[in-house]
Amino acid sequence: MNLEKKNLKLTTGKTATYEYDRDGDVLEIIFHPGEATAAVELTESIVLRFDWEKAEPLSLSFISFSKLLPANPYGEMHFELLQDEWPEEVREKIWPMLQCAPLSDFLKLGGYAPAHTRQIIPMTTIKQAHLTAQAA
Amino acid sequence: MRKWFVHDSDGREIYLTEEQWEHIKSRHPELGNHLDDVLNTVRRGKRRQQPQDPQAFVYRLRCDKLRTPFNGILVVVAFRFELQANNGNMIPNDFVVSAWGIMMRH
Repeated sequence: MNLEKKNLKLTTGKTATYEYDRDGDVLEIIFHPGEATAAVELTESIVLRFDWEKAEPLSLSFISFSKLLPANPYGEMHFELLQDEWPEEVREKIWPMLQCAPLSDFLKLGGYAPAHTRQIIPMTTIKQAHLTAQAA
Repeated sequence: MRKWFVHDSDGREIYLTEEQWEHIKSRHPELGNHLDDVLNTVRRGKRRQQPQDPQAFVYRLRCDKLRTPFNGILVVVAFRFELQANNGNMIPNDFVVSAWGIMMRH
């Protein structure tokens, strides 16, 4: 394994561990080591592990991380949040977590309004500046 | 060391190294006793090519053996190539990168 490790300072004042598997191109930001009691695919490329009782994030993983960062011709990349894949009881735990640190240090929420529909599709972008510039 | 070998539903041989499995267990201890279920996810799971990375595939399969509320496993496999030592040919080098217990609806 070709593992790159460093510490990241969070806006909460705490420190997270940055672990990037260069061979597999998977990045995991670990907020708290230990056993998760729940996890979901936030997007097709982002997995969140968390503590079910405390609704507290444990780690955030980025699959094919190097391919998620390059900007497209229109600006930064937006990824659809897969809320339809989340069981009902999970949604009420995930949305509050997404809206505050530490997840908001790495993900920005947004919405896409397709033409001819009232439906808003939840999206997220990766705050890459935080990942690259915040080494503690 | 390449320790476990399985074939996915398309017949591709995919391996998991001992080092990678130790890493998965230490980072995702909720999967610690589920090596067979992780391998079975590659064997029988539904495969999805990653939209931004044609060389990465996600395998997902329901699994009722995990502690609730987990009900499925997700495995990331890298599809790479390596040079064959004896003849210089490029051959597939497909390996498990990581795995997660997940909660899924479908």
